[in-house]
Amino acid sequence: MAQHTVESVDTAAHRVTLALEVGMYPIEVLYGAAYVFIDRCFVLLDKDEGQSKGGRYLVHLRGKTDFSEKELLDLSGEFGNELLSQALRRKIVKQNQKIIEEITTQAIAGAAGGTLPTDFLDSSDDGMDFLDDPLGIAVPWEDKFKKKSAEQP
Amino acid sequence: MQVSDVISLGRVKADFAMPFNHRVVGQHYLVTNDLGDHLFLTPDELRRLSEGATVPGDGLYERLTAANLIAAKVDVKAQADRWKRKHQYLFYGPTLHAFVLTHRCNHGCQYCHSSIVGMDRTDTDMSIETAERAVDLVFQTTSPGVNIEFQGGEPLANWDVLQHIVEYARQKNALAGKTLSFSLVTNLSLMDDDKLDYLIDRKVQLCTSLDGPEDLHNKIRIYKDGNAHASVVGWMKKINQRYKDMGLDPNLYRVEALPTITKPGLTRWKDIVDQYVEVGCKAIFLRKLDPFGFASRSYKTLGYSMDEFLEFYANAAEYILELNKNGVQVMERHAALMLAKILTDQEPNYLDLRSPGGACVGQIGYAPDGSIYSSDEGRFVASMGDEMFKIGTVNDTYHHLMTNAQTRAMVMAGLNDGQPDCVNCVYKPWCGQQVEYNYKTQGSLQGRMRDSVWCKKHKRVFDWLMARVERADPEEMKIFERWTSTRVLDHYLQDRSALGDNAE
Repeated sequence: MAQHTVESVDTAAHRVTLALEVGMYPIEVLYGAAYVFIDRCFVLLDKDEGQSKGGRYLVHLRGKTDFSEKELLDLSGEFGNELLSQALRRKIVKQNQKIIEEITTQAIAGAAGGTLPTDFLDSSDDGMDFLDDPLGIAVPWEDKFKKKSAEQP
Repeated sequence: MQVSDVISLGRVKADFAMPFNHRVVGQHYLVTNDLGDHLFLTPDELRRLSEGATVPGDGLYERLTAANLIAAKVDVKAQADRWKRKHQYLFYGPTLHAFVLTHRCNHGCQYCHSSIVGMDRTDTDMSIETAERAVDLVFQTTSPGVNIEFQGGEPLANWDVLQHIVEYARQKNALAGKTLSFSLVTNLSLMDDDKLDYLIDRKVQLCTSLDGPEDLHNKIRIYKDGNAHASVVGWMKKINQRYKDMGLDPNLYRVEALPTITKPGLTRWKDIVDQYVEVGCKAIFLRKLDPFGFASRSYKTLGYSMDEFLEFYANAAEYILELNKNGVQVMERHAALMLAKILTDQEPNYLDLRSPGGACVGQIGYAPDGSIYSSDEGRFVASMGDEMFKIGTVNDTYHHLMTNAQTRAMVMAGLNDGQPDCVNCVYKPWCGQQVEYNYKTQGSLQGRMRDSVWCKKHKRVFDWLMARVERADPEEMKIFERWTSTRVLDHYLQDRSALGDNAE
């Protein structure tokens, strides 16, 4: 499957629906990309369990103003670009995490006068990666629910 | 020129070269490292760098060594110190403090970035109480230098508060001992002799907008009470003459002006530059229309593509270079800032070309109601109804403003090291981003550089500049080097022991 596909375009409703395979992008990337569009569109994220092995995410973008068919298709293309950009940035930020944190800390400490809150940048000695998710906040509820259902006799 | 034709991954000697980025410029590969060193290499020289196929005495080895591109030859301690010097801005807080004294304005400029109101709306003026609280915050910055910039609306419309801020800040500085300066961004239409006497006496630097010849300027900068162009040019000449009469060097001391380039100006690059030379300007900052304020609404009539702007820019910049060859000393400011970073070890601390960008830790903006924004652009976004960049108010502590979650997010988002494209870009050591621009144009603080107008503009201006540097003859290099020489404008610095007239 391609990165994402246009599932449907409804010009009367100024809506385009995209589909992407679960697992193609981390869920945070999907959230991040979707968020970028909320000033122009009403965004609904959904999941289609049926067609492929892991299911598909469906992204419904409905324009807040009138969108032509071409504009709706452009919107879907831009969404794909945003997904890729967010995913790559996530990787780069992880790779460069140390230097990013050190420069940021220095810039803020330099500006603030050298005294920072103890929880600054959440860099307390908990041995955690900043992308770690110990509370499972980023885990889709569908996955949590499925797990519990599977455990039940 | 495909890099895959030059570099064979199987033959790369990974530990030979310092990490570098490259890009084809003219007939060469431009190569840079994170320290900002650069070299133009032929394809074969790039191959030899990647394979470590160069030895002392072959010329290339010496050039690579001088440019800190051979890992084993880098003096780590010296280069770490150099990196620190070039990133001195990381070690102190905001230097630029933009005070919006009022939203009132008597002009109706079609592209105005601020939210302006009629001259009767005195309720949009900054009060003395708010002004004093803001000045109190200014003096808490860890920066040894402070510039208080008066903006609007038209800041001269709130003259009493402007004067009060000058006196109050001078008084505070008697204790603080900072390098303090003031600047006033004005359309000059409310200027009179008394105000000018005061501003000159208090060494307030004057900056204005001049979009070009009369027809062009007046078409965009609408002033119903008179001829906007005649007013601004008349005052510029008068003020420049006052500086001259005071014995100040006219090459350094004059009214600074900025044009905003609009669609009608795209073909008028020669007229615009000539106008600046005619009024005695030594620098012209060819500023692209921003997507803020009225400009976002009038973009259909005033806007243009980035390609159109870059064609304009190259024409104007070539013309400026030609004028210099004919003995007329005038520079393009954007090119000059870039050249200072490219050709010297100076860091001009230009907030749009640094990493992290200037939001919050390089500048802050104070609105008349006491709201504080990440920058001038942050308050432009607010004027469009979006308070995304409000980091607090004058009632907050300075420490809170510098360490709160928004500030931290903006600093992190404004780092080149976290951006796809930027991390691999040959211009990375000299470039920067503006989170407000990213947000306004692409919906997130980080944006997407690959299809960002901001990135395209900077990349292409760097391309033009580096292509000119690559093929520059000695006369042209001398001109470029002259553009990078900076002299401190001592006259505008306040005497550290000066007390305002109202000091006790």
